[in-house]
Amino acid sequence: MNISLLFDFTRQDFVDRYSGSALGALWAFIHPLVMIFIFTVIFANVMSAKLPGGSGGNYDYPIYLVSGLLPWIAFTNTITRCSTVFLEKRHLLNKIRLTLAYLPVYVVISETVTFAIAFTLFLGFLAATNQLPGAWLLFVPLIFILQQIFAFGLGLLFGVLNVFLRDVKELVTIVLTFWFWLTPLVWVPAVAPEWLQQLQDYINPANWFIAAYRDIFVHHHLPDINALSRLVIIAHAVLLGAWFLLKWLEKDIRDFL
Amino acid sequence: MIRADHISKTFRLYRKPSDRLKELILRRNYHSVHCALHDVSFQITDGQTLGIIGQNGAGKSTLLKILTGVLLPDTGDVQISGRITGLLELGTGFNMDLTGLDNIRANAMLLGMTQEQIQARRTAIIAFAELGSFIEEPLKTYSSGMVMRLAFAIAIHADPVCFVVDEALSVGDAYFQQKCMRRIQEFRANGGSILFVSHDMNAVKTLCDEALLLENGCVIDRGSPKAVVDHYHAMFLSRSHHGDLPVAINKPPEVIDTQPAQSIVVESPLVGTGEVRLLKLELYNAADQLIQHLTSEEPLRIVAHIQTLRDLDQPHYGIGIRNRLGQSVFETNTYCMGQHPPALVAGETVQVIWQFTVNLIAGDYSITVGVGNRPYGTGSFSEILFFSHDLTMLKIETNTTAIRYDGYFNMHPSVTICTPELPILPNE
Repeated sequence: MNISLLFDFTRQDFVDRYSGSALGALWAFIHPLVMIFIFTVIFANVMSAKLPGGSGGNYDYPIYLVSGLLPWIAFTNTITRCSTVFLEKRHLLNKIRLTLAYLPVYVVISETVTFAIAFTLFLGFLAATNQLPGAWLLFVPLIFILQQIFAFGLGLLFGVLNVFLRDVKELVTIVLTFWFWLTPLVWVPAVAPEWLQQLQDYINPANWFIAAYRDIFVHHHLPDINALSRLVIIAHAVLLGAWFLLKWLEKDIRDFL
Repeated sequence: MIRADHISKTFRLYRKPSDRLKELILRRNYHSVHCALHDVSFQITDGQTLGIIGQNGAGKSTLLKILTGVLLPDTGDVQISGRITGLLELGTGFNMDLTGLDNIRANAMLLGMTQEQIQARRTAIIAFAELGSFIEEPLKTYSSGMVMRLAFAIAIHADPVCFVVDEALSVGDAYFQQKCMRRIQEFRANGGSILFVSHDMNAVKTLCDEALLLENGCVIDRGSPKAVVDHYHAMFLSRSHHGDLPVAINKPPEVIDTQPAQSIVVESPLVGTGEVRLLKLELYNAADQLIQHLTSEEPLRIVAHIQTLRDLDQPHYGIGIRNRLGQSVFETNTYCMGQHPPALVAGETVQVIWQFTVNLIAGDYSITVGVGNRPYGTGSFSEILFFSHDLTMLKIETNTTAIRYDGYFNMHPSVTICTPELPILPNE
């Protein structure tokens, strides 16, 4: 495994993304900053949105939103970008011997870095408003790694399929939109009908990690270990399945690119 | 060292890529098969150059892609004792928005070099590419020749065990091509292997130690570059033949250096239908002696005894002289000379007598003879009845009374040196 090549891909990804812009990599900070600003200032102060069942603090709902949305954005970006990465980099795959799995891996790393920047800013905000969750914070990297393994598995799966069927990319976007609204990201589980709440526990792996972040940031307690262990199983099963599919179809992928 | 063992590759052709998925799910066939390579084996030892020739679509690119690991073979395996680079990666990993310097780093890394190796080679790469201040500019401002310079500089400095030289090299200007060739020779002298893929047959004959002829994915010939290139040309000739009988290609035996008999009978030419036989081919000097050696600048008579086994309405006869490398130094035929040889009836024998003044530079030459029927165009024949190279050898020795010169032949220059009446001013 060529680690330096992976890091170079990641670095290049950031360079490409902001190449030609005057502020450059500063944009990687501006975007999450604006998002945090909108949710906190607008929701908390202008709209005075309150979290049902929350502690009643001004910032409960913004923290609820941001603690769910930041990981979700990393999750979905990883999946959508992985699903097109083979086609985007076909000019390399056509000319140079390159392990296929490197490409989605660098997407995962790149999105992780983006998340880390945004997350650090979010921590800064929490520290400023004195709402840091304390030692539970140590669980965040663990949850995030699990989440990204899951995203990597799904992205790899869609990426392989997308080589053969370009519609997969569009389907992924639509499925992720549905997934976004069916997961309690902007809404609170308490306002949803009973069946939808139950669904979250049984078949929505996204909610398992989203809820875990909320447990830490909103409720300041230990995440649901049971749900997380289910996530461990699902994430690795998906990754293993995608891996076998990749190995099985590798020759065809290279032929088709 | 590179070793390819029994490589086969078939492409399954689908009308659209999604048919592959349909096939997986429905377990039915939705493809047609195209065999791109069939049981290809070869080996390139250190310091050796292997030429790969073949028509478009013969499988050359597929073979290169398998060697570089971009495509996976169906069967067989490839062993390379290191990295294989070349210009076929021209522009790969090149990001047009990045500067030359940034691209050196990115591309070298893609080729598998470590940071330390890149650091160590950077100056050498920049110096070799000779891009001046452009090395600091984004690649989109480069001309294609400049991109090629950068690509070549990186590829040759990536410590490959094998370097692929292909037509991409011709993008560079004459100066840089020369520089590249020198560098490639140096690389070969230091034990590097070279894979030479080109349509420039003279280059294949001069540069390669061995050649491989691909046709429809199969290796149909392999051996000394000269013999393989002749075979390749014979394929073209046989393709332009429109006679009733099919032409057969007979690969000549690969013993060129032994002294051939003074007169020979050729029943199975390189290309031919078998309807024309070369009974005898003799070389005479001015004194009517049968010869194999001749001093340059002296007259030569070539006599070909040709027998036809069928009626020929417009027969024409060709002659050619080739040098040691198999490069044609002179060739023509009766049609090109505006002659109208008489028609022949089956069984008839003719003597075709050619007279030359052989003002060739000293060296070993060989004689080519051809017989065609029904000419058209600038020198093609609808029927190629007989065509064979290296029928007999001719050694040309230096004529000490002639001027000394180098090149291919004595153009008998004249020279005058005089003083101009008016002084010529140098150009402004």
